[in-house]
This record gives sequence, structure tokens and C-alpha cells, in this order.
Amino acid sequence: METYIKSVNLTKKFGDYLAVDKINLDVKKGEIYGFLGPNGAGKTTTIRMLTGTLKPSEGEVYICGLPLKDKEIEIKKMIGVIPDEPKLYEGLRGNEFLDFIIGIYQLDKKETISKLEELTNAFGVDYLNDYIGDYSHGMKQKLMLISVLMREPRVMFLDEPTVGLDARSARLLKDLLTKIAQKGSTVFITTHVLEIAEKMCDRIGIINEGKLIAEGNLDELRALSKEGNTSLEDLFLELTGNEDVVDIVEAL
Amino acid sequence: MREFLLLYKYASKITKPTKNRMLNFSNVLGWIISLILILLLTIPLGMAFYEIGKSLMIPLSSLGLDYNGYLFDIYMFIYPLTFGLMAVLTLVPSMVFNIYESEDIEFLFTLPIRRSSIFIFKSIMGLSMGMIPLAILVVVGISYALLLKVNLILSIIAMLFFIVFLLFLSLLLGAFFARIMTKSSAKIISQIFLYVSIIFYVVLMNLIPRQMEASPQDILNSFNSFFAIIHGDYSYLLPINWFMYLVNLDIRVFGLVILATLVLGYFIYKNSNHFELESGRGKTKKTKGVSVSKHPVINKELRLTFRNPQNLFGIAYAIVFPIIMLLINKQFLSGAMFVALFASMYTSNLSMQLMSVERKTWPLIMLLPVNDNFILRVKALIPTAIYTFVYLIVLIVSYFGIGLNPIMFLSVIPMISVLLFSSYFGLYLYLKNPNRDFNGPAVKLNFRENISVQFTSFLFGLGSIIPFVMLDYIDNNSELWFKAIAWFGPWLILIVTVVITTRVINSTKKILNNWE
Ligand SMILES: Nc1ncnc2c1ncn2[C@@H]1O[C@H](COP(=O)(O)OP(=O)(O)OP(=O)(O)O)[C@@H](O)[C@H]1O
Ligand SMILES: [Mg+2]
Repeated sequence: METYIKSVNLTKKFGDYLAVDKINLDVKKGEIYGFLGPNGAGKTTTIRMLTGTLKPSEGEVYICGLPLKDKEIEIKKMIGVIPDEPKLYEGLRGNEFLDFIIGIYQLDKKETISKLEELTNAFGVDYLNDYIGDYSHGMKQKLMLISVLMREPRVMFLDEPTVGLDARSARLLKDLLTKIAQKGSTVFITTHVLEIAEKMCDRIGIINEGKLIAEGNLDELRALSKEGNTSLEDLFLELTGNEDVVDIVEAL
Repeated sequence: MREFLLLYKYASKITKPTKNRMLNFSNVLGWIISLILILLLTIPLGMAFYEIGKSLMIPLSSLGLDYNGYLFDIYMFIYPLTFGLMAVLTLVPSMVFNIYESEDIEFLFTLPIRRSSIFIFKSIMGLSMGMIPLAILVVVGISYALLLKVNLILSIIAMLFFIVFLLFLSLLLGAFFARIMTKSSAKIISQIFLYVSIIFYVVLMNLIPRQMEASPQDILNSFNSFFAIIHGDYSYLLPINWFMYLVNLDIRVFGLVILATLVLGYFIYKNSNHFELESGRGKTKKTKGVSVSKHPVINKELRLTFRNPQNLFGIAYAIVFPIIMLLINKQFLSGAMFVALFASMYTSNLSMQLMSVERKTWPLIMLLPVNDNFILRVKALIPTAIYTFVYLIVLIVSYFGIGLNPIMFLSVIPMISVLLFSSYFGLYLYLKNPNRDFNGPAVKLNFRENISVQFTSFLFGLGSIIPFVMLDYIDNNSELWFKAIAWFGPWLILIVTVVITTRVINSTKKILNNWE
């Protein structure tokens, strides 16, 4: 299988602080990769380095076999990114933003617009004529999502994409991502909703304090547990050393 | 009061602190330089005003009118009206947008602070925009006081009261507009403001006599009916006359202004306690189709430029003021000075503002498959193109209006270079400090930065224009240096700005490449 996302010793230091420490990733074509970790573990930092918005202190990134360092523009055309916060041009209307995206990625007009229609109907986006500045968080998130999904990128990075989405849209997104992966795209997703990771992801990586501490499918992760934890939640807490929640709650 | 101090103390702490902590000195320097700049701008105007006044301080009674004033009062009526209105028109949108666009306002609302404090505090932060018209007002007032030979100190104190009145009026209008405007409709209302002010200027333009040629009798003939407004029995009740009466130390008006200010203050207080940021978005069910444009980036920038009312004001002032000035004075130079002034103020501001949009939505721009340098170029070229266009309009109007020597059209070439320099320099300064805050609609450079970009652009701009005007004055007796400046000045500036701009571009590219 082709490798679509590859990182070699990916490292980021903010001053003296080591936010991401020598991470090696190898995500294949058609795979859904869940990237889990406690707050501040370095997930967003990793995604930013993988997508070229943050320069690594050390290490290399390859997307679909191309080095990110030299082929930034080509790679940006192939990937789709949902950042952790949907920050969009507030002075534009929704449809003007889509217009901008279609123009800038030089997408086929007819094809994209018919896809766009399906997506707006599916997500219930009927507010494209209004200014983005007036949207709610979830509305912006949906606009961001459809602007990426309409392009059917080969590799998708999603940083906590379900935050702010209503139950229906979150479900729709999960199903769409699964379908996209079946068609051969790769999905790299971070989330705090372990149920998403459990149900959707083919493989899961767990990052803690900048280090990738475990990787594999659910069965492989279960095998790592010394205490025989089988639910992903217990596993996650055991591996990230946060099992003491139970004691803390009792103490409170 | 305690609330204000707290708000002020934390106003600058919304964003990450910058490393450079020794800004105090340069801040003081910045204040001094901007003061000098304002003086440079206003003193010539005051002197010109004084000069016109000297020949027109003719008692109305001696002209056969039954009023207790001077012929010159017509100017003292029109100028304060123009600049007072300009001050209010600049202040109100600036304050409203300062409120709407500040990122911490939602947070401030959750704090146990009275809404009026938040509102007034945020408005005050938007006041600096109106400083220039207010300064002009003061200078005009001082000239008039000198002509009247009244006690200058008392006159100045009276003027300050008037300015407080104007500020309060703007605050009240701001409170009103902040209440009724939704974020999007705020933009529309400001556009209406803009049209009103343009219409006003045009009317004014036709009323003002061509003062260079007009004899006192001409002025009297065209403004005869005005004196009833200025010096009628109840004229002192009209706020548009207050400034003149105050400078003249009219005690009745003094009382009126204080009363009006107190009343305004009361309303501001009441009104602002209820102010909130509702978004009355009218849902439009019918979705317009997506139209795909050939130049997505340029399209986007233009939309963002023209939807920000501050930019519209900036562009409109740069067109309207120079045209008024050159038609009044029948002299290209006095118009051109204003073009250079406005262009140098707004070009860099516009380019920075276009860049700040990307910072606000960061990392969106980094995710798009476009070259950083292309983005940079668009952000610099759009403001340059807009203000080149503005300059061309002023040239064309001068050509048809006052028979400008067509050779002046050549000055567009160095001017383009100066404008490019201005926008790139602005971008460079903006990007140099990555923690620049977005608090408020206009991008805030510190004073030193602001002055360095605006002052140099202004000087370069004048340097490209004045020598062309000098060409008209060259004759056989002209001295060599005069000829040299006239012939070579603009082209020297062209070369200098091209060289500096190339350097600035390179440094900016480096910064941009390290943006993260
Ligand atoms: N620009 C920055 N400058 C300094 N430190 C940063 C910067 N960005 C991130 N960090 C630090 O790097 C660490 C990892 O942050 P990151 O945003 O990657 O966490 P995360 O795993 O995405 O957390 P969350 O689950 O809360 O989103 C944090 O300690 C954070 O403080
Ligand atoms: Mg994160």
C-alpha cells in the first residue's frame, strides 16, 4: 500500500519547550488514522507541521511521497485541512468564500458546484448569502467542512472537527469520512471523543507530552495494556498516565 | 473611574506581550513627532486663514448690512462647519467599529463591569482618528481670535469646551449607531454617511466664492442671506454657530455649550448602559449560486477592501478634499498636498489592513495553494492601484477644472513608486511585529512606526509633485538649483523609492516565509 502521510523524526521546539518530540508517522492510502492525546499533548502542533503551516524544528514530512519542504504548493492542492478553529474571512459572504476557494484551487466549475449542492443540502447549509462574520461557530465549521469536502482531497487533516457540530452533522461527517476513505483518500483526525476513534479509525496513535507513546489498531492497543483494560477510554487513561481520575473524584 | 483604569491597564494585555519592553522612550518620541506633524499640517492652514481674514475683517455695518459682525464671519461659519462635521463623521464610524471589531468585547461583557464603562472605554480607544480635523478647528479658531484681538487664553478654553461637546456628540451618535446597527448594516450606514458627506462637500464647494479673485462686494452678494443665519437675533442658539461665538467669548453660548454637553453626557450614560452586540441577521433563504471568478485572490481583496467603511472614507476623503481645495484655491498644488497627505496616510494602512485579515484567519492562507510572494504582491498592489487612481482623478479634475499643465500627468510615475514604497513599507512594519493586536478596525502601528511610514511617504509624495509645479515657474532668470530640482527631483525620488522598496520587499519576504 502507498504511504500518504509520512513523517520522520518530526520535532517542534517553542523556545526550550519541546512540544513535539521525534514523531514518526506512516499512514497508508485509504486509512483513517486517529490521533489522540490529552490537552496540550502536541496534536495541533503536529497537524500544523504536517500541513505546512508551521515549520518543524527538525525532521521531514512527506505527503503522497512528495517532500513538503520543496513541493508545498503541489501538496496544498492535494490536501484538505480543517483547523481546530474555523477562522474565515468575516467580511465575505459564504458563497463568496466558496467562490474564492473554487477559483484558487482551479476546480472544475460544473463538477464542484453539483458536489457543493449535495453537500449544502446534506449539512443543511442555507445561509451562504449571509456574512461569515454573523455565523455561529458550528455554521462556520460546516462552511469550512464543505469547502474542503467539495474538493475531495486525497489527504484530509481534521483537528477536532466535531467540536461545535450538532449531533446530526457530526454523524454525517463521520459517515462521509468513512466513505471518502473507502474511495481511497486518507483521513488524519484528532479528537477527544474516544467513541469516534473507536468506531471510525483503522489505526490510532496516542501522543503524550509530545511523544508518540502507542500506535496500532484497537486490538494492538489492548495488547499493550498491563492491566487488561479493554475499553479505549480506560486504555487511553492508563497509557497517558491519567488513571488517577477515579481517586481524585472520590477525594472530591 | 476604577473600572476605566482597570480596563485601560489590561487593554494592551489582550495579546501576547512583545519582547521589546523598552518602548516607553520611542512612545514619547512618537507623540512628539506626531504633534509636530499635526502642527506642520495645521499651522500653514491657520496662517492662510489669518491672511484671508486680514483683508476681510470688514464690519458688516460699513457694507450696509444691519448686523453686528464682519464679512470674514462667513469663513468662520463655513470652516468650523466643514471640519466639525468631518470630525464627527470620522469619529462616529471609527468608534462604532472599534467596538464591533475588538476581540475582547464578548469577554468584557461577561465581567461584572457596567456596560457604559465598556462602551465609553472602547469608544475612547477609537478617538484618535478625529484628531486632525479637531486640530484644524483649533487653528482656525486661534486665527480668528487673533483677528478679533480677544483674550487668546479664554478663547482657547472656550474652544476646548466646544471640542468636548463634539466628542460627546460623537459618543452619543456612536452609542446610538452601535445599538441599532448590526455588524453588517453598520457598514451600510457608514456608506450612507459617506454619501451625505460627499454631497455636503459638493454643496459647500459651490457656495464658497473663489476667494483669490473675489472682491468683498462679490462675497457679500453671494452670501448675503447667510448673515441672517450667522448674525440673526437667535443665531446664538444654533449649534453650527457656536464655535464662532465661543471664540468671540460669547457668554450665552458658553452656557449653552456646557448645558448641551451635560445633557449629551446624561444620554450617553443612559443609552450606553443598554448597548449590546446583537446580530440581527436577516436570514435569506434563497441561496444565490456560486459564481466562479477568474481572479479569486484579487476579487477577495477588493471585496474586503470596499466592504470596510473606513477604507471607503479614506478613499473618499482623498478624492473630495483635494478637489475642494484645488477648486477653492484654483491652484493644483494645494490640492496635490492633500492627495499626498491622504495617500500617505491611507495606502500603508490599507495594505496592512489587508494583511491583518490573513492574520486573523490564520492559518487559512497558509493552507491555500498559492505562493506567499503572490499574496504579498496583491496586498501591496491593490492599495497602490487605488490611490494611483485617486491621484489620477485629481489630476483629471485639475486639467479640466483649472487648466492644469498636461506635463503634470507625468508625476503619476514617481507617485506610483512612492505609493508602492508606502504599502510595502507598511506591510514590512506590520509583519515585523507578529504579535500586533487587531483590537480595533485600523491596524495599530505604534507611533514611531506610524510616523516613519506616513511621514516618509508624505515627503516622498510631495517631492514627486512639487518639482512638477516648479516647472511652470522656470524662466530665464531661474537659478540653477531651482531648475535642477524641477527637472530631476521627481526622478531622483523615483530611483530612491525603487531602491528602498526592493530592499523592503526582500526583508518582508523573509519575514513572511518564517510566518507561523
Ligand atoms: N505558538 C506557540 N508558542 C509556544 N508554545 C506553543 C505554541 N503552540 C503550541 N504551544 C505549546 O505546545 C504544546 C502542544 O500544544 P498543541 O496545541 O499541539 O496541543 P493539543 O494536543 O492540540 O491540545 P488540545 O487537545 O488542547 O487541542 C502546548 O504545551 C502549547 O502550550
Ligand atoms: Mg489542539
